[in-house]
Amino acid sequence: MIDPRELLKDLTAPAPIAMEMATEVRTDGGLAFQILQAPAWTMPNGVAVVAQWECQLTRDRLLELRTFLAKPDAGTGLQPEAAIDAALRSIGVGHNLGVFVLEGISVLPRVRFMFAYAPQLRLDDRAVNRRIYRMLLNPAGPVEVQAVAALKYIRTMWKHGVNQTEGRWMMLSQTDPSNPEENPFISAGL
Amino acid sequence: MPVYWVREPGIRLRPVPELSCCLVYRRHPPALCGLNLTSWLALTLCDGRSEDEIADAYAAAVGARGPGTGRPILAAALQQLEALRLIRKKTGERMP
Repeated sequence: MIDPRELLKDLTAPAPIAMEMATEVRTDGGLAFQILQAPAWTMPNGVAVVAQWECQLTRDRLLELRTFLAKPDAGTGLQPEAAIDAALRSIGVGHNLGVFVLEGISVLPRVRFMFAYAPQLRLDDRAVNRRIYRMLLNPAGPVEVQAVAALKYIRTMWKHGVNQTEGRWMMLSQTDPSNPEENPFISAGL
Repeated sequence: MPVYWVREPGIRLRPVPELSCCLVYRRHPPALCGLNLTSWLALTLCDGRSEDEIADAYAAAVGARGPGTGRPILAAALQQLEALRLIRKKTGERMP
């Protein structure tokens, strides 16, 4: 076993810090690196594009987010992620992959909100966006109402985070980097 | 009645020396705790020593420099560890 006294020989003694670490956000506890069986609704079947919002949150905000994600809605009985998943499926654009956290002791926890766009029909990205937009403005039924409220909550959480990034990731096997219509710069050798 | 400090049974330490910290797994209730260097030191010293003995060993290790020195700082460190249920006070005859 490594003795901390050996390390202190070369360092100035810091003020003591001991804290419980927040763990994976959809559970109540356990090791951060424990592999849990995913609920059926998170199975990434047929994923074509992964949309990802990423940011860093303070520990307080992270715990607030975790509490939000863990609490089922009194009306639908669904947790927020399950409601988002059900709503994305109901409008036929894809499903929810979930909220993931990478936590360190000395850095702000990094959080990823991930969605899979896997349309049931052949839809281009504009049609997918229009369907999501319509749902955000006019949610149909209690599950979509809950999903829209949850999406607004996590989007606001993301906007107030640090170092936000946003992007859509496509599976490499489903795109052709040599096709000038899809990738003009790579195809032109730039 | 003598009072001394011991670690809670079942906790597991995973030192991360490259980050000068230690991860501690607590079984009941399950949680993962992060300890910086001086809290890690305080935890390792809770092996059945009295608070005076811990203070002597702690002072010998940290010296006189830095924000982690001093008896009140050590007392606060022990309080933190106790609140996290990583250590507890025992009274009575000390086990050999």
